[in-house]
Amino acid sequence: MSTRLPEPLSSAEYARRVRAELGELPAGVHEDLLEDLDEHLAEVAADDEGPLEAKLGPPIVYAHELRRAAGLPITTPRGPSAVHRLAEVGRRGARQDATKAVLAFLPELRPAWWVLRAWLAVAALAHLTGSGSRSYLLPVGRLLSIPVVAAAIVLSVRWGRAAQRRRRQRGAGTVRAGRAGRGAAAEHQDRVRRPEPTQLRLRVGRDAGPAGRDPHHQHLPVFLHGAAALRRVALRPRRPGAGQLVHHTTGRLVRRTPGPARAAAAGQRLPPAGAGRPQSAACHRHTAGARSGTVYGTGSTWRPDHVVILRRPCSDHTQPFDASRGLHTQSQPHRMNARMSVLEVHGVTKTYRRRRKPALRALDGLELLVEAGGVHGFLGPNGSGKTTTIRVLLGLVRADQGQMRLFGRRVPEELPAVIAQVGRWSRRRCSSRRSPAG
Amino acid sequence: VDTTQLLKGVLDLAVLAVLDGQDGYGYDVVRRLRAAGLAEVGDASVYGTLRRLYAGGNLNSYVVPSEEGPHRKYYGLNASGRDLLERSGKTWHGFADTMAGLLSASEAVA
Repeated sequence: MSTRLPEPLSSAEYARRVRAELGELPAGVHEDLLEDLDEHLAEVAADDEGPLEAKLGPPIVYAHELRRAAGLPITTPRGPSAVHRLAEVGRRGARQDATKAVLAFLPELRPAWWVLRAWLAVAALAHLTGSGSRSYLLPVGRLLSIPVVAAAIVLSVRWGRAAQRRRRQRGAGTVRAGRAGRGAAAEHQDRVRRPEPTQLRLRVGRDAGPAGRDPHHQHLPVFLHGAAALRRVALRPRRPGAGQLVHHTTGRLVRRTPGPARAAAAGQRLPPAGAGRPQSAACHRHTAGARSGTVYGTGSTWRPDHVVILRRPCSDHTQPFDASRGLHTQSQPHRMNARMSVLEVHGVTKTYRRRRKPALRALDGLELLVEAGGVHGFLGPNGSGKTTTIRVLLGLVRADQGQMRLFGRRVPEELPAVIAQVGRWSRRRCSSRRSPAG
Repeated sequence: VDTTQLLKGVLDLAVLAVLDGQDGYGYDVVRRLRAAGLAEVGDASVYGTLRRLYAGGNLNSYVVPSEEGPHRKYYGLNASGRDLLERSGKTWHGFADTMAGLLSASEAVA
C-alpha cells in the first residue's frame, strides 16, 4: 500500500490561501496589503527549487506573520473552529451567484426591518402591559395605535440610520487606521457617503519622479465621483490663466477658468480653495450623459493646471475619429513646440475580451498629449478608459494598436529606460492625502 | 538574546536602510537583508513591512515589467522615508551606545 504525498502548492495557490486566511480584513486593507502578493510569491518560487511551503512555512503562518509585520491586529493561527467552518460554508455559498445576489439585496431591506421592529416593540409592550388589542395591525387601542406606532417607527428609523452611519464610519476607521487627521477622516466620510468613487491621481512632468522633490506638487487628489464623473470641476489655478479644460481629442481649450484666474491676474485675493464657483465641464457630446457626478477637491490640495477629460468609447459613434483634429493641429503650434511632450498617445485602441460577455472596447483611437510642467487632472466618467490608459502606458496592459511615447521613449519597448521617472498612484492609495506616490 | 525578537524591533530601520542606497522589489529586499547578515529575516515580515511603510507614506513604488517573470513592484524611499530613516537611525545609535556602555561597565566590574 502506498501513501500519496500532497502536491506542492503553486505560488498562485499559496497566495490564494494566504488571501483566504486574511479574508476577514476589511476589503480596502486586504487589497492594499496583498496588492502584489502573487508576483512576490512567484518571485520567491522562481528563486530556487523546492516547494514554497518548505521556504515560507504553511500559508496560515505566512498570513499571521504578514499581518503582524503590517501592524494589523493579530489573530492566533489555529485550526478551523466550528465558527470558522460555518463561516467557510457561508463563504462557499456566497460564491454562488444567486446567493450573492440575495446577500447583496439584504441590506436593502433594512428600512423594512426598522419599521417591523418598531411595530413588534409596540406590540410586545402592549402585550406585556395588558393593553393590547385584538387587531394585529394595531397593537394597542385604536386611538393610541397610530401615534404610538408612528412614534416608534420614527425612533426606530432614526436609531437604524444612526447605527448605519456608525457602521460605515467604523469601517472607514479601520481602513484608515493609523492615518489620523481631521482632513483624512472627513475625506473618508465623503467616500462613504458617495460609494464607489473612481479616484486617480496622475502626475506627469519633469518632476514626475519620486514624491518629495517638488513640495507644491505633492498630494494632488483628484476625486471623480460615481459613474458620472463630470458635472463640475472646481479649478484653482496656481497662476493666472493656468486653469484650463483641454479637450482630450482636439486638444483645444474648452474654457478658461473664470473668476479666480482673472481675479489672480488682477492681483486680487483668490477665494479659498473649494469655495469658489465651480466650472462646467461639458466639453464633448459623449460626456453629456455624465453630468450628474461631481468632481470635488479637498481643501487647498486640488490645484491642477490642466484637466484632460476622457470620454467613454462609444460603440454607436457615427463619426470616425479624425486624427487631423488631434493635438497636432495648427491651432496651438506654439504649445507643441515650446515645451517637451512628456506623454504622447496616438490612436491607441484596447479591447478587453470577456468570458460570456461581449468584448469591451476600453480605448478607441485615443489621442493624448501632455506637455512637461504643471499638474494634470485626468478625468472622465466610469468606463471611459482612464485606468486602461495608465496601465497601457506603464506596460501593464498591451494595447491592440497605436503608438505611445513617455518622455520621448517608445512604450512599451523602451519603458525600462523611463519607468523610474513615473509615479503611479493606485486607486486605494490615493484616497489618502498622506499616501505616497506609488 | 533572541535575535528574532530584536529583528522585529528594527526591521523597519533595516528595510529603510537597504532601500536608501538602491530601490528594490520585495524579494530583492529580502535577499539583500539576508546577504547583509540578517539570515533569519522572514519573507512575510519583509513583505508586510514594505506594505506598511508604503501605506504610511514612507515609500514610493513603481512597477517594472519583466520579460522573464512577473512584473516587479519596486520600492524606494521618498522624503518622508528618508526622514524616518534618519530619525530611526539616531534612535538606534543612541540605544546601541547605551547598551554598549552598560555592557562595558558590566565587563569592567567583572
